[in-house]
Amino acid sequence: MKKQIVLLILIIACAVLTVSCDKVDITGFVDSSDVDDRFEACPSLPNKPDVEGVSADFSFIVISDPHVYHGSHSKLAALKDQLLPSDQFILICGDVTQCGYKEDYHAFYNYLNGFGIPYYPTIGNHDLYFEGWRNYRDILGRPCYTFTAGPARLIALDSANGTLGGKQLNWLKQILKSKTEPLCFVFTHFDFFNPGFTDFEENLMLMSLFENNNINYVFMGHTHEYHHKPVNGVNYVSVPGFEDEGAKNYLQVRVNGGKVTFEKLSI
Amino acid sequence: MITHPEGCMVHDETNQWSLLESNVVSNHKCHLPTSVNHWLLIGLICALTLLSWNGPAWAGPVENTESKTFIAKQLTFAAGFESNRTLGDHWALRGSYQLESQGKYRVQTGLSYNQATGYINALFIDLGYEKINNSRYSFRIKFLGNQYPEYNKAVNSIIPYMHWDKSSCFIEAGLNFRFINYTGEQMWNIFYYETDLAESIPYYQFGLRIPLQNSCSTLTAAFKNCDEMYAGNLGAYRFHFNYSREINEHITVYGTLDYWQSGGIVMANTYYKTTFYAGIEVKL
Repeated sequence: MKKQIVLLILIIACAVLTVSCDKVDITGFVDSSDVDDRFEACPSLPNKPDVEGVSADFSFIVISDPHVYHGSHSKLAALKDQLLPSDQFILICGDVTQCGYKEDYHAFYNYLNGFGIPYYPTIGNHDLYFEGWRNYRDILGRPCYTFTAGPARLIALDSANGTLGGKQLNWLKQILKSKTEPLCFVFTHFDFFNPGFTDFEENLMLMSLFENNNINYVFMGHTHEYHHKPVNGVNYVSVPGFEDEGAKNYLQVRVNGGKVTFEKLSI
Repeated sequence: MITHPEGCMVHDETNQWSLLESNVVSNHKCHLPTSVNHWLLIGLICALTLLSWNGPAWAGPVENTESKTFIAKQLTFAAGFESNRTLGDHWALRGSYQLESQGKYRVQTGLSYNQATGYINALFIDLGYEKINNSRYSFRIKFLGNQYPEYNKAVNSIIPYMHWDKSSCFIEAGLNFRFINYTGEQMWNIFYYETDLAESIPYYQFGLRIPLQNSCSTLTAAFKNCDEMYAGNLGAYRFHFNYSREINEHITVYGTLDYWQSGGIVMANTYYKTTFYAGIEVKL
């Protein structure tokens, strides 16, 4: 009986601690904003424009997981000083904020707007916490979209729930079928090589789709760790975290004469 | 270019990659993961095995010392429907055959057929040493292969796990050493492990059995990331419900409903998949 009471107290204490935590939305374990709902909201949100004036040779920056929290990020503003004249735009592979709070989205928006080049975020699991999707939608817009930059097509996928959902998958298939650009980059949040979540059958299906449609690079976030795995002609790159506390890493991707190279850099 | 000891490609000194360099799959082969956590889990399984070997008091005696039969045989067949929000719907057929010798040694094998692709999509062999030293513990090792010819890929697993069973509840815990084959090479060989990627994922299920109608029927509710034909990722959990009814001492019919989530570990979960199966178990 005594043991049961102690156990009950421990369970209640854990539950109270977890629920009162403002960093983790425990309700997301059971249910969160749904990927199909977010996809259906896209047409009502402003389209992401193509990057204008991009020549055959250019470069761009990829960052991931800045996790902006309490309205600030220690080094995001400093990224501006690292940009080269050839850098045409910035991709962000999700987890823009730690908890999906409005003040954090505003802070991210203000930092990136100060860079003077277009930026293209996609949504991560942290961005959904505490009903963060509404804030993301109002401030950053569409979570999945496509645009062009010179000879390249870029596709942002919403994988914040760990699945694309049927509607987004059909949209992706149409985009891949109709694309005419010689280069194609996909960027998304979840890592195809991280076994922590997501159905591996869906991963394999997507990888097969990318192989059959000549995708050059897939940039992924979530793990905060760097890896690069070429599989059947597709380069999967896990973008290291540009964290508020900790490492501030980013990739500079260069397109030169139709060849793509990249470099892992840090501040 | 440098090869990582675990077989993954890593950056060269200039941190440069060329598209031309990467048009082939990495030839480097992976081996069993060796991180400390994984070995701790294996150690835990081994420790549980050894402890139960000596029949500790907390392990408890086996309530039912059934199966005096020298060899018990069981055939199971099920037909079902799977509705996946991303990959679509399909019908499936499953069958398995089990032999148990003196209630101690167990061999089970089975396969699953996917109507949408027209292929066998799972094969497994499960070997078990049951009720170790008359405790409730069994040690099992499963060799599972999931084939995806439509994607030219396959996934093989070696899953050592402990099974603890009481009439009212059960727990299974183990480690899934998963080998993902991106080239389709030796796709139908479930013992092929020289693949492009190796990873390890906890394998778990626990559930409650509620007897109904004078124990002729049983309702089972479980929480898990696996079934006999599939071993999923850590956070891709599901709720499993099974209703079974004994028709006579040889035949049991059952129905199952599984509700899968997309991945709870990242706290951004949503519905992923539902599966329904109806089946029959025949003790031969």
